Amino acid sequence: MASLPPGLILVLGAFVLPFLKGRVLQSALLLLPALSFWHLLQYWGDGCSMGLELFGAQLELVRVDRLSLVWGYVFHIAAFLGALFALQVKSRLEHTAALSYAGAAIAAVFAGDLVTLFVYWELTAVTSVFLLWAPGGEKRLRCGMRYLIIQVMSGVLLLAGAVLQYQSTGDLAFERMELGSPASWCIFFSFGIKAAFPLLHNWLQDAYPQASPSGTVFLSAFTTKLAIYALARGFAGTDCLIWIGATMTVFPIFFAVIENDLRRVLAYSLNNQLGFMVVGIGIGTELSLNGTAAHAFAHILYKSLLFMSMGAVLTRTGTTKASELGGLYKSMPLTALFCVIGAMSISAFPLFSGFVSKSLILSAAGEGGLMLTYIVLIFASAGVVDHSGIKVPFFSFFAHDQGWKVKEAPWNMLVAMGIAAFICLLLGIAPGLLYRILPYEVDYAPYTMAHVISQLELLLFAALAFWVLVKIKVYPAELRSTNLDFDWTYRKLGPALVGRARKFIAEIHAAVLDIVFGLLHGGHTLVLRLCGPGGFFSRTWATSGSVLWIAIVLAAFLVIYLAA
Amino acid sequence: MSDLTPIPKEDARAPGGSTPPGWFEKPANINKIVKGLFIACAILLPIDLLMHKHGYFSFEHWPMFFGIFGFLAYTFIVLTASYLRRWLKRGEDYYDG
Repeated sequence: MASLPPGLILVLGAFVLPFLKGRVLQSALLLLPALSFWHLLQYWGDGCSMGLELFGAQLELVRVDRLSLVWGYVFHIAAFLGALFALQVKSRLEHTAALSYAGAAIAAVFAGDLVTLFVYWELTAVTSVFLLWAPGGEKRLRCGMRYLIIQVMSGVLLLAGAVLQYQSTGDLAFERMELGSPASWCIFFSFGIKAAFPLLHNWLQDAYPQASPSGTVFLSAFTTKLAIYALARGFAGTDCLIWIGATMTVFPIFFAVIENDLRRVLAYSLNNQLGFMVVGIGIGTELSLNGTAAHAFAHILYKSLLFMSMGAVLTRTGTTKASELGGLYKSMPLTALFCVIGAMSISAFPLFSGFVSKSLILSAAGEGGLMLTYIVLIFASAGVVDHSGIKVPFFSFFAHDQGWKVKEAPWNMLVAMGIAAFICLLLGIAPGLLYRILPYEVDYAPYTMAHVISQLELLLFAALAFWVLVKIKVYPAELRSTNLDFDWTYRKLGPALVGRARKFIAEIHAAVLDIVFGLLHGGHTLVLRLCGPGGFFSRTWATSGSVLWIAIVLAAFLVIYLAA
Repeated sequence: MSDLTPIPKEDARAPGGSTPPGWFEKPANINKIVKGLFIACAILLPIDLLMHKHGYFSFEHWPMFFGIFGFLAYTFIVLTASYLRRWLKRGEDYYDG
């Protein structure tokens, strides 16, 4: 037990699930995350490592320190809440995929070298794709393939980076690195794909809305936050991350505002939240890295909560399209309440978890004198108020009553949402609980008068703007639509170009064949005419004629010989 | 999108497409909420002007900076996004065709 790396209980335990059913299966679903958490605290809680020498290379299978522990804790909480939310799902494939995926992500966080990291990194890709495939259907299959190709590409880059690093330094340790060598760039882009950097982001918005109600809850928690951890570990203080992160906070907002599928709205909003964390990593001070860790912790919980509330709506109504929803607070009052708590948390309302975590990153930007970054982050915060703070709860539970008369969410979903909502409030009210587990010592007071008032101003005046825009009828209506994003390049442009190229090559091929066959045909006809029946060379000749010809040839030869 | 989202349970909707109005649909209550928002914003105004600020940058000390910035940023985001829709919007089954 003591030598079992953290997370492996979940990975191995998940493969027992297909053999269980009924209450035993449900108990196992809840017990496995709890057991794994206990195992982490019991055997690895104090921070230590476990090494192994393999083919002459030193591997560090487990490295537990304050940075990795933050992710270890919250991944376990997310796995437990996800399992509780999924308790009544019948598909055992989905349960197995979900828990092995969670376990792989936990194990990856505690990986101390690049090869171990690569193994778990790929395992998260391979296990999570089954969450997309489990509910079945041709479109999910294709979407899962797109997802898998991109995830595996990230893994291949990581492996390439590991190999290059080993070749140049002889060391596989996963430590902080400087961007510059080919190895570091490979690893950087590998992390960037999973962290959904701008233009590498579309796998997220493509895949997350396609999984089952509970599948998306799992997906939202692990892959991207694992990448955030890896960036924090490997690239803290890398300047370009500030700009990458700032871009990430801004551009998804515009897509979220006009997106109709509320789970895709949440996927864009997830992308925007990752931006805040990436900025924190780029700044690279103790305060900002604490901010990234705290925000990852808080974010996983409120984002799970929001995806759970939309999952509950999907379970009961069969849709999460804003154009189809509205007025659900009457039939699903508790789900509505929990969704609003999640929305207040992500909007960073005082007394909710987002407020105490995001402000660490903003303060770090302020202390670093990064004025433009600071303004961009405040701007992005106003955007969060719209897409996650107002749009998601408003258009599903309030807005226009669409006549839905459904049952409240199942009890297990309500309990999972209730616990998540409780933690969101708890962290907001008692931030010390969160600050205590951060990687560096925290000397920070989020609840100063000036901070609370300025945040309330930002939020309430943004809400006021919402009211004004609705009142003067310029707030964009919810329309059934697809909005073009960068994935257009590989879902439309790429295939179109390949189609054109294929046509062009086929035309050239046909033309070349035409010429070749023409030549062959001409040659064949000529040979046939000369040597075929009745041809010049096939005729029978008289002996006298032949002798005459030989004499002529000999004479010609003689003349040429003498002349030369 | 037919096989991507479960089929909506049409029978889950009440006949006529609406249910009896609840608390949040009564105009009087909506007015109360809006009034509450106005009052909250109005209360913030004097506090902002009187309190001691300790921002990182000078613009944070401008009167009502965060309120005005929040209002304008929000409006800008929503209007820009609806403008972008002209170029970005396609049919719901755009990628399925």
